[in-house]
Amino acid sequence: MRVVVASGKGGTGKTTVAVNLALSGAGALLLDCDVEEPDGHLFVGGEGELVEDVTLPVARVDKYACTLCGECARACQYNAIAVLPEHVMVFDQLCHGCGVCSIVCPEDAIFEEPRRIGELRRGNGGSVDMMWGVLDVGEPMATPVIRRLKEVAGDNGFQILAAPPGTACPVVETLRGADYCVLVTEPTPFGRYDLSLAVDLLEELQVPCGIIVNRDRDDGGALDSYLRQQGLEVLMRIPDSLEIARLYAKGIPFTEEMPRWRHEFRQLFENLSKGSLS
Amino acid sequence: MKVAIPSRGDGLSASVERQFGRCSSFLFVDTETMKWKVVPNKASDQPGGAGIAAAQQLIDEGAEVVLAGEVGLNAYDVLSNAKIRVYGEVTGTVEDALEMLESGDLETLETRALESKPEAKVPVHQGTRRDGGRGRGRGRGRRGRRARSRLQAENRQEV
Repeated sequence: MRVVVASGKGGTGKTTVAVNLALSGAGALLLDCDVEEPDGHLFVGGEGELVEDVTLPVARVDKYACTLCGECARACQYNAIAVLPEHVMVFDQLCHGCGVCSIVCPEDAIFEEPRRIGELRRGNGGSVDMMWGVLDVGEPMATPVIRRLKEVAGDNGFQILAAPPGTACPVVETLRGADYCVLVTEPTPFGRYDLSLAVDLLEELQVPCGIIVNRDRDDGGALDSYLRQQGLEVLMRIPDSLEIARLYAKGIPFTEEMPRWRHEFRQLFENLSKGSLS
Repeated sequence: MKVAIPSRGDGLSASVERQFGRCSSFLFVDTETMKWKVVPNKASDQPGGAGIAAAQQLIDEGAEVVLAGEVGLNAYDVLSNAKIRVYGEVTGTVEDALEMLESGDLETLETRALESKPEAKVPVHQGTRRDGGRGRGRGRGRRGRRARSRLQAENRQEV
């Protein structure tokens, strides 16, 4: 079973929720899919250990076979190849590794070689096993790292996936194959707006969802009326608490220090694993 | 010589556009005959790699010189490797630009780069990465050449 914790707006508390949820259930695997800036391991797992390098196939041209016909440049959907009067240039960071150039080349002069774009790491802390992806600094494509992370994690067991913020390609990749999505939001205008984008995305992807309101405080009912209007179920409300914030700042998952919340998250975990939500 | 100018409009009174990769069109002028033609920029609505695609278009059209406002990293990379001379900070009309070229008032981007950062060969840093230079094309620097001959040797064995 795959439960994704996402948000829309960044900074609402995905990591908080994902980590505490994983700690509340026995045998859950936590996957931090925010490969551009993973932070779950700060709470669970520390530095961890390397699992593998993540690579993308990148086009290379055999200059002895190449006739500079230009078919590859014409075929490339990403403009990653330029054919010059005397040689061919490949732009690695634009190359998506799709292989089309190697297929269209009439001289069979294009082959692919692996290029590292990041890595997978694993660690554990408390009762939680976790794995996370790290995109190398400067690399533009997070999605292939997320895809590989999920591939290596496999399909079995109960998995909690912490999604990146936003609703772009990396989030879509994280949500692919999800059984349920927990959307974490906050009662602010930005939070509400970005939540609505995430809700729309989930509808497109046909993934059922429930809402956790984090840093809950009085906003004049604006968030609640949106939630009611959309028919969205509120799974939990976490208050705007200084104590929770203090523990977070120290890298301590608050369910470890606050029994009431340990109970709440355990309840949520049980409901999720029974599939009794949506 | 064949000059390409990112611009909007027809003929010598067309105005030079500041950007390169997503300009609306290129005006090609043969300075020997003063014959010109407007070529719409196919790269302008590409989601990515517009500079590369625009530069490819100029190569395909046989441009030898570019009179531009600003040129991005990737576009400059392609143009300079194709031995096309790129002048920057060009403004005004196509006619103005050609006059400035004629009177030697324009500076190539390479010259400007060398003046501001003598160790750099291109306007902004490209950096070095442990995967061997920029990993683009072949024969760029020591690691590139060694990597290339090793890979080509491997490739020939497969064949």
